[in-house]
Amino acid sequence: MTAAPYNYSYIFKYIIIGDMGVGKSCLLHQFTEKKFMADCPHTIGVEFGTRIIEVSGQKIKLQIWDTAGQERFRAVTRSYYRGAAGALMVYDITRRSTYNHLSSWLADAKSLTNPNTAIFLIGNKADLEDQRDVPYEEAKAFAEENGLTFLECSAKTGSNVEDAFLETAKQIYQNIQDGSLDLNAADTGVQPKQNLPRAAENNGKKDCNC
Amino acid sequence: MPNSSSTSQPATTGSETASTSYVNYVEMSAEQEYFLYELETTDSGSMGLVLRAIYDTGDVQSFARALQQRISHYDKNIQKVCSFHYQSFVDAMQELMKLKEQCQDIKEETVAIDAEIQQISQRLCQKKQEIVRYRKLMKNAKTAMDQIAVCLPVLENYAKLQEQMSNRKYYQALKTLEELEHTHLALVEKYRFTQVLAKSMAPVRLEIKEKAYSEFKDFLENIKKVAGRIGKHASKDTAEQHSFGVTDAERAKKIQEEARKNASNVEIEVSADGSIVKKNMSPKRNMKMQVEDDEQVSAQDLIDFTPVHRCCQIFNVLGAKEEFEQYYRQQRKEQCDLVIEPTHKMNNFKHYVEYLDEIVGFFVVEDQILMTQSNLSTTVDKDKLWDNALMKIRQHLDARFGGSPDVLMMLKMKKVILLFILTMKSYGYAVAPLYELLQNFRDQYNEILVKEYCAQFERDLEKDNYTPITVNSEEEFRTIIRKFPFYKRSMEQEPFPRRFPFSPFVTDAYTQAKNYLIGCLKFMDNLQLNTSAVDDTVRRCANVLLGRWAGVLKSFVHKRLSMIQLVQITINLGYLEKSCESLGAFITSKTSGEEAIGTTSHQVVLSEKVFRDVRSEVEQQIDECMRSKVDEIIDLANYDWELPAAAGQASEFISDLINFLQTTFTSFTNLPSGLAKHVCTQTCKHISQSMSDFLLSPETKCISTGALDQFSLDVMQCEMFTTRCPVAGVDPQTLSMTFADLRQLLDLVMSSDWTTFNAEYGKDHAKYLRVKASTAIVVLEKMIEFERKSTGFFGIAKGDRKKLLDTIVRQLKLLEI
Repeated sequence: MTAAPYNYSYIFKYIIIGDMGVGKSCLLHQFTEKKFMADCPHTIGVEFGTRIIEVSGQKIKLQIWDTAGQERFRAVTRSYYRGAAGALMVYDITRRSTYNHLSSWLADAKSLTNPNTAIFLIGNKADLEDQRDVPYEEAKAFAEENGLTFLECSAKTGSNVEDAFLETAKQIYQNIQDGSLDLNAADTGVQPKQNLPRAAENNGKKDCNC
Repeated sequence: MPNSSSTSQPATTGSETASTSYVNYVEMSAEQEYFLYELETTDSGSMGLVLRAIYDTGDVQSFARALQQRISHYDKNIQKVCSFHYQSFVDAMQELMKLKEQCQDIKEETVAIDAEIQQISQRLCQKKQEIVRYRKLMKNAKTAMDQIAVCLPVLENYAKLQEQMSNRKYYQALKTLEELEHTHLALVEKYRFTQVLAKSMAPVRLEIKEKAYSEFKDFLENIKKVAGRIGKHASKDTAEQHSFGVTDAERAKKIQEEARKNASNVEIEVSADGSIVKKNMSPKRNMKMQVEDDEQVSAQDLIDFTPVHRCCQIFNVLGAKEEFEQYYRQQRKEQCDLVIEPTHKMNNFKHYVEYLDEIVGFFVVEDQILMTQSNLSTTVDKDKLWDNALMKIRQHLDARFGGSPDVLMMLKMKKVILLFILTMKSYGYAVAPLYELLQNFRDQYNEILVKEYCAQFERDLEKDNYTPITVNSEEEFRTIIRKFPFYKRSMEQEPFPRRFPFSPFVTDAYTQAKNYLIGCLKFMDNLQLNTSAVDDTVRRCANVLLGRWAGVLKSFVHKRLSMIQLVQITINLGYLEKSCESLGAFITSKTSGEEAIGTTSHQVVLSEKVFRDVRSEVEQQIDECMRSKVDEIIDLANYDWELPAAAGQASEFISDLINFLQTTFTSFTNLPSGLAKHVCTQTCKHISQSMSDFLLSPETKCISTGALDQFSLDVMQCEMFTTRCPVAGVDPQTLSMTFADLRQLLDLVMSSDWTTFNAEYGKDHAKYLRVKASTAIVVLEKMIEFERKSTGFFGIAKGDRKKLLDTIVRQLKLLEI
């Protein structure tokens, strides 16, 4: 495994943040395993998941940190913002308090990640329409106001989960393409595959600061 | 010859006679005298002989003259006699003449009297004739009366017979018939009408026999109808004697209270209690009604046994006693077979109760008949019937409940069967096989119970949130403590919210364990087991459950569980182990209360060891889980083995890995200390091994010095983690050793300290003791390969370096040998 040939071009690093119980771990599980974990215990510290996706013909491996939402783990999980190329900020549409706390999470994200980090707002538990506590339009407005991409998802049904992760990756890839994301900079959350053919290697070296 | 002998004998005799009687006749010879004597005295039969003798002498003339003389002599005598009596004769004649005259007179006088009497007696004769006729009539009448008197009993008895037959009094009829035949008819056989009677009575005996059989069949039908009620009553008596109802009511009350205590999440118990409580109440109410209806009812009251007795008597008189006995046994056997064979609609509890009541009733009746007609049925016959029935009853019950998954039904059936056993036992029937059956059911019941509670256990595992229980108020706190009484006393002084170490699964499992034990006890009630036997059995059941639970848990942890789940399970296991002692005390309180205090040391100990294996399993799974996470991150490694120069900081994946470990070991504050140390150590070993594999992998063909520098930085980062390990109690020196091999290899290669390595190789205190020559060779060959690739682009200087490395490799290979 350690020596297996790389079959992806980039590694993108994500962090999932949000209040306790909004469904962060369930979203990760649904995305990586395509299954709903019904009775999910509260995350302790961080959890970790990976999956390979394809964006514009390029295979990209997503490295996803799932953080504990409990207040007592907040300090510990801050170290994971650094080096994240994408941040998925999650609230629960059936609990208004989780939406109200988004400002705090957003502040952390902006202060602890790179300016180029793509931040995606996710309203989870969309399948519980009858218990809705946060109108779609209100959250949509909040997202636009803060320059965030927004989707309502259901970790239970899988609705929009794939899209949320993919859209985030597309934004990151777009930033790479238009040069706003510097691959040579540290802690960008993006790692290009370096074992390229000699010619490509030369190109890489040409760009290298060394 | 005969003549000769006759002649000689008469001669002698004649001589004597002649000399005595006829001395006067001298001229006659003796012989002639003899001949004359013979003629005078002999009978006519001998005349011939005498005459022949005379002729044989040849002197016939002489004899004729002698004879003539004798005749003359006699004539003279006669004349003298006549002359002598002549005068008397004349006198007599004169007297007769006188008499004649007198008689004539008497005759005349008599005729006159006779005429007078005839006249006078005329009426008397008439009366006499009348008397004679009347006497004759009276005689005839008396004779007729006597004969009729003899005939009357016959007629009376015949009429009686007819009446008795029409009144179905067959035994009396039979006795009457016997009396008629053997006593009365014998006296009047000569009359024609008695023959007709005898002929008409011939079929009566047969009819009596048939009627007796018919009545007996009716009797059998009757007891068949009533058997169920008899059985029910007998069972009720037994239940009262053994305080069955009271015990059940009491138990129901206790169960109800217990259910109230364990209110939440006790689906099995609530359902079981609900049903049992209702069931226990209803039968009691029914029993009360039965008492009112059937007060003082017994087999004797419900069944008239006289038909059996009468049949015995009838067949005894008929001389067919054995026939009836055989018939009786055959019929009872067939009836028994019918009773034992369940109907096809045995699909609910009530049907089984009725089935067993019928059986009880049958055998109670049999017992009754045995006591009153000991010749009709014997103890051997009864026991034989019962043994056969017992085998079939057992087969039927086994067939229907052998595979029953219904715990409630089995509990109810256990009570019914137990009551059946006690009832039959009280009538002297052997019941040991039924106790065996019940104990088999108990084992079956316990097995079903174990399966149910294992399924519940698994459900609890599945739905647990693997989060320590948090309580926000004193009330909540007390609720948890009541369910599971294991907590640190210091918690009582802590501010809210308070956190218990265990998750809800533990309280649920503990509650389920107690409910399971109660379930086991329910079945063992009244199974003829003493207190200590019940206690031991329940404890063994508890151990079975704990063992099964451990198995379920072991299987469960092999699913893909998260670190959080595994860690919480480890903590929960600790509390389950602690609860074993408490369960033991619970069993004691349920089986024998205070009494068992002195026998504690002899009790089967609840086995907390069963959880040791699963604990090891969980800990191994934690290792696996951590290793899996580490591998996922290491998989992101992206080494450029031809890197010209190190980046100056650790690779990103290593930074992430170290950060992850730091976060995890910091966050899992509830991880038991020993386990945390173990996991940390194992994880570091794994990382070290993985890094070595990177370096030595055959797929990595060449390594630059720059790449080595970067790799060394990464290892250094790991070493820093070991020195600042977040797990309390870990010895940094010990943990650092996990990377020692790798560090020495890197130091050796990067500093090119081959002189020292070669000089000290194989020695105990060598600086590079942990490095094997073969390992060093692998790395050097990769470096040489890199140099070879670089030669084409660069000058002689690189060539010289290659030669140097080649030399070193040759030297190292010598060391290998």
